[in-house]
Amino acid sequence: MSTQLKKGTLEMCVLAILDHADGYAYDIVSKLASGVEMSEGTIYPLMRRLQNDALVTTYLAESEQGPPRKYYRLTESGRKELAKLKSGWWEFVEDVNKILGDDYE
Amino acid sequence: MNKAKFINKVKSSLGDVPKDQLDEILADYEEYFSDGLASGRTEEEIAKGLGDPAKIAKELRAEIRIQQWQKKKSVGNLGRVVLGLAALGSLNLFLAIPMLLMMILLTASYGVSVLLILVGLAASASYLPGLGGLMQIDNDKTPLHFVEEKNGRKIEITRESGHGMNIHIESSEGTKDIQTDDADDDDDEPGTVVDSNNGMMHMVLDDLHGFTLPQVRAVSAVGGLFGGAFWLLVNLWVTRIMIRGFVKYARLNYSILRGE
Repeated sequence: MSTQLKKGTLEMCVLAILDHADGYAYDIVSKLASGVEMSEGTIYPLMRRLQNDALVTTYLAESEQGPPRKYYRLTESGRKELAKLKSGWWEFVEDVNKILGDDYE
Repeated sequence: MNKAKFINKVKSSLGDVPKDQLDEILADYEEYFSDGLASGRTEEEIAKGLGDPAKIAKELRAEIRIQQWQKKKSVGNLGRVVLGLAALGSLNLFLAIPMLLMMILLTASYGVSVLLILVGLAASASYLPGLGGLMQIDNDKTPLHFVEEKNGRKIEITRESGHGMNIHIESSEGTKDIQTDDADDDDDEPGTVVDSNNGMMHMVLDDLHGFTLPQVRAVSAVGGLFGGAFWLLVNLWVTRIMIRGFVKYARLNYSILRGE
C-alpha cells in the first residue's frame, strides 16, 4: 500500500486539481506547490504518463501572452481513477490515525 | 542556467525521440518558461525549479518508449523500452538475469512449436500429389537409382517400382545391404540388414510399433499442426503475460526513481 500510495499521491493531487477545472502545466504546478513539495520538472513526465493512461486529454487554447497554451482535461476514466485513489487515501489516513490516536498518544 | 541553455540541454538529450514528440516537448517547456516569466520569476529561477534537464529528458524518453510500445507492439519498440529504462538505471541485475533466462527458455519453446508445425506441414504436404518426397515416406512407385562414392566408400540406393528400397554400402570394412519395407503394403516382411562380413547381424526397419506408415503420417500431420499451433498459442500467451508484467514492473521502478 505504501509504495503504491507514495506513487499515487502526486498523481492523485494533479487529478484532483484537474477535476475542479482544466489547467495548463504552470498553473497545475503553482497549485501543487502551495501544498505539496515537488520538483517542478516532474510535471511533464507525469502529465505524459497520465495522457498515456488516457486519464487526461489535451487541447490548445489561446493565451493573453505568447503562443496558445496546452490545457489538460480529466477524462471519464481519469475521474474514476481519482475516485479510486481518493477512497484508498482516506482509508489509509483513517488507519494511520487510528494507530496514532489510540496507541501512540 | 537560462531558458535557451535549458531547452538546448533537453533537446540534445532527446536526440533520438521522434521529431513531432520532441517539438511538442520543447513547446511545453517554452510555454512553461513564458508562464513563469509572466508570474515574475527569472529564467534562472524557473530553470532551477525545473531541475536537471538531463534527468527530465531520461524520464520523458522512458515514458515515450512505453507510449510507443503501447501504440505499436513490436519487438523493436520493446527493445527501446528496455533501453530507455536501462538509461534510467532502473533495470538492475536482479531483474535482468531472470528476464534473460525466461527469454532463452521462451525462445527454445517457440522453436519447438515451429518445429512441430513444420513436421505437421511436411506430413500434410506429403498427401499432395507430387510432394510425397517432402517426408521420407515411400509411396512413390517410380524407380530410383542413386550412387555416390566418397572417401573410399560407395553408397548405392536403388528402388524398383512397387518395392522397398535397397541400400548397398561398400567400404574397406566390408559391405552392407539394407532393405526397407515397401511402404504401400503393410503385410510385407520387415526390411532387414545383413552384414555381409559375418551374415549374423539383422536389423529391422519397419513402421513405428503398432502403427502403419499411413497412420504415422496422419498422426504426424494432425498432431504436428494442431500440437504446434497449440504450443505456439501457449507461448504467445506466456509472452503476453511476461511483457505485461515487465512493463508494469518497469513503470513502478521508474516512478520510484522519480522520487514520487
